[in-house]
Amino acid sequence: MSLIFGALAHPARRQILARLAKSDASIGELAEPFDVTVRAVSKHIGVLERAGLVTRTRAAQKRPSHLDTATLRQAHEWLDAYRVLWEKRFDRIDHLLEHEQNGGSRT
Amino acid sequence: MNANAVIPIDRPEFVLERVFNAPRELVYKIWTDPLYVKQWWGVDGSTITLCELDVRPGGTFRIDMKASDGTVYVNRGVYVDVVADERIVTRDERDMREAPGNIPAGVHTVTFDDVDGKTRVTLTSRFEKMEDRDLMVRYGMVAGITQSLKRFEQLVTTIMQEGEQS
Repeated sequence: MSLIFGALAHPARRQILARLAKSDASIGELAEPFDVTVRAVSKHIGVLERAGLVTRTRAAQKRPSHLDTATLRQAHEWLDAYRVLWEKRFDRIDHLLEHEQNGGSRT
Repeated sequence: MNANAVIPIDRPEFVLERVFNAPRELVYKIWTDPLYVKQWWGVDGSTITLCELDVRPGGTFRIDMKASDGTVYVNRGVYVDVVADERIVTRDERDMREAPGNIPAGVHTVTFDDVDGKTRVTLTSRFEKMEDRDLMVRYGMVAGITQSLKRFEQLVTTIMQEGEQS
């Protein structure tokens, strides 16, 4: 259920995503700036791939990882729509409260 | 505007908070009286054609919303817990996936807190059925991060910024 959520929760994976936001990179390149093994990075990439946040090219020999921003954006858009729906409802409640407290009657 | 959206990192929840400049009893009334609910529940351009609220533990609710294109969406569910003026927990009976807003069935907890004569309303939505394979596909994996917003936005922003800096 919390694939994306879990994927984003780990600081190392956020760093990897940050690196990929700049450009595609191979596992070796991703491991370089960190004090971690290639195997550990490979595992993180696996988690990010399953969450749909990262895709990996099969063609190239180094199989560079690529940040799939569409997934982030899609998630963000839905959440934003849900928030806006409720904020509008809250706004309408605000107006109703104002009306009631100013001695207005039900409309 | 004093609404805050929060995303707890460890729970699949969406939390929204707002302080209303009115006493708790009045806010509760507007939240539970069909005459008022009809006026605030819908989405833009919609009208509420039916609003039946049996506000007590185990009671059911049904709100029919007619969208601007004429389609009627039926929102049904049950009151899981009700403490007058304090707390309401509802569970949706069906998904509103096809409706404007793409809303999956969830459990919604609303609390009303008195804050110096004003009322803080906290809405917590849990989309348990997000685990459905079907939903996962439809919403892209929004699932786990329904709780979102501010926190999620921060995460995305941080990721982008870290990317720019490194």
